[in-house]
Amino acid sequence: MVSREFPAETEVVIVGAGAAGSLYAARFAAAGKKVLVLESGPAWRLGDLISSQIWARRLKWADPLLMQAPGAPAFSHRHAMGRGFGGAALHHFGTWIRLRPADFDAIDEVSGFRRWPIGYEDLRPFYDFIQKEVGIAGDARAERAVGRPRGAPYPMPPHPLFAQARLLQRGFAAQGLATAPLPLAINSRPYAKRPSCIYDGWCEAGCPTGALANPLVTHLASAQRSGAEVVAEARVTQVLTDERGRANGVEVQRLGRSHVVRSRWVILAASVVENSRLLLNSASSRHREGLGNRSGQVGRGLMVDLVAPVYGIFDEPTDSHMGVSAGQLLHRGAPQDRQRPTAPGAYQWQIAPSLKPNDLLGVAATRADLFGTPLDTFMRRSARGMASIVGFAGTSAAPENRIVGGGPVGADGMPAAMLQYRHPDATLRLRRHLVSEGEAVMRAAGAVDVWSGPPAGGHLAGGTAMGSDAAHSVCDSHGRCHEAPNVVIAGSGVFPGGSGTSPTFTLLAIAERSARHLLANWRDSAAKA
Amino acid sequence: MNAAEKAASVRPVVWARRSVLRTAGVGLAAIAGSSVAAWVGAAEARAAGSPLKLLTVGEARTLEAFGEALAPGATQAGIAHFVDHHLSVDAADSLLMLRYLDWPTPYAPFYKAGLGALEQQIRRQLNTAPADVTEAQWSTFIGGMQGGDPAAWNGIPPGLFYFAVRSDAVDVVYGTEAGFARLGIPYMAHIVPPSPW
Repeated sequence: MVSREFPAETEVVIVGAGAAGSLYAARFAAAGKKVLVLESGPAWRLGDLISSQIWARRLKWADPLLMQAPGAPAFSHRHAMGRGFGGAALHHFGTWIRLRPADFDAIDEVSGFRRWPIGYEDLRPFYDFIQKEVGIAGDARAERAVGRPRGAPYPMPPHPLFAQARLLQRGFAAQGLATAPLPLAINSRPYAKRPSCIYDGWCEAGCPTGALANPLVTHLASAQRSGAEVVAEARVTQVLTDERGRANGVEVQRLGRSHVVRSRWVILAASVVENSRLLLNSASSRHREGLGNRSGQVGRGLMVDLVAPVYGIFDEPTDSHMGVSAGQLLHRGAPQDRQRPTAPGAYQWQIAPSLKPNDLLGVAATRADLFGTPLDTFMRRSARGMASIVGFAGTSAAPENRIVGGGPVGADGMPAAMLQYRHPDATLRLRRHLVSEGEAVMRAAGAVDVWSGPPAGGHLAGGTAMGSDAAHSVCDSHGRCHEAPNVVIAGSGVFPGGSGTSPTFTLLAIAERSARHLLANWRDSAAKA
Repeated sequence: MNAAEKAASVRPVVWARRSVLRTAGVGLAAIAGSSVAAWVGAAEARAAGSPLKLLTVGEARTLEAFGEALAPGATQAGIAHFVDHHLSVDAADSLLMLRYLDWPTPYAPFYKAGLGALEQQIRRQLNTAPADVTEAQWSTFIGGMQGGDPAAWNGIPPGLFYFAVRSDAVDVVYGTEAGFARLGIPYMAHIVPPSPW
């Protein structure tokens, strides 16, 4: 039944109001297209971004949309996911780092093909454009020392360093490891009609001032100003296709009722997990194994970087409550780094993130073995002199690491996605290397106590990989599904290879490139669709 | 079970409630009430004697004893009301750390099974009630939870249960404006929480 709440037809329907979906909505609406954004979560506003690690949990996934397959190792992901307007980018840390040219050279070990159908130079102008539009604070020249590729300088100066960062910078230097200001989509001065950061460290709870570039103050806002309609609590459960196998709309659940919206274009921007789940749930007579899955590639090549946190206690005050959640400095390594032949893969260190006492990334969780009086003693000591660095061990795509359908059916009538994942040996080795390197850095910085945290996942990517070959990928370099070219897949799910760095800036650059291509070829694209 | 047997089985609970009223002051005093108070925060709810919504008296007592052993101050900070409230709301509104830990919803069976197993294990191993376990006894007991067999814990992995309740205790003791002040850390809210959670 078609509800009056939704237009019966639209030109473009976008599934998900996160970073990528909001960008597409902004560009298409600005070009005069009729755009409808369907978001499964709440209609968050800036006033909902309450400064509390406890309240911030409202912004994360609540439903078991992705479950562990039997025998799969622990894989915590909900903490990094988002629900509602802004998606995960509403509480992301604003770590906007470019992939490097070598990241695009990843080779598929099975086929021998180069995974990425594009290279760094294809994305560079779009990195530059978004960087100027949204604003990034950093020091491009200094960042060359840690491998920043060619590109426009940042439009804002880097953020100031607090005591924790200055101490840790000393440790990295003592180990012969270069550092540079962490490039952040957080204002170091007023920019794009948004204020400067005040360094209170509440990034993970969402930034209500807009100093940190979340979609509520960037692309979702501009999309709505241009006339895009954005509907909350509307979960798309299926992409509908015609007799030719092309998309002609979506089925959506809202307030317990099912609706159909017809559309010429469908943009899937619902997250790595949800995009795969939705494609698998969109089987039809023309797509018996799920939409876009004739080659069996949907869900495959899932990637998650392995986190290697290292902590230290210093005798001097670290002021670790000050700063931003992402960190203040950056070090990056790569396998082709000839100066450091022992490094087994691409990785990065985010140095001196601000710390809160509680929550999964908080002080107490770093020593989960402590309780009672020893915990209280530790908390008081840490409040004065704790510091941390967070390593991300990059990974690579493996076909056996995948999302599959067939889990328990949820309240939305869709089966939960099931996760089959095993960290590649090289990634596990790299993480061990990072723990060793990080502990040496911490000691060199003067820490009197040093410890590391358990492995955890970060930076989810893959599952709907782009590629030039329909037999080994799901979509082309613009995100257009090989089997249904009027379905465009957005987000880090289209990454065919890993990088060991934060995905948001790159997924936005890819979306920008795609949106411009589609608009420039709108008539031709529509005809093909 | 006939009516007389039901009445007999309920009686110990009634006595337990009275015991709580005596020993816990205003904390759990209003548990026997049936009205649902507006949510104002766990410490305030406990101080005001607000009724629990989902946990039983015994479960609340066990949770308070365990939480206090994990993070001193958790009882007064309202761990029982905190957990009880967030078990009684929709999963999307529940702010417990368990939300992050890949445990399927609803969360109430996790806590009820875990608390029940905790009490059983303590009575079996220490021959006492959770509220009467000493600090030294807790230290040994909790140390043994990490590698415990879920089969002996009503199917709940005891290490996960420890981490979840420890996180709840940390939330109420250190994760609020009062908790930050206790550690000497400025809270610096952009938007002050309307209640601690």
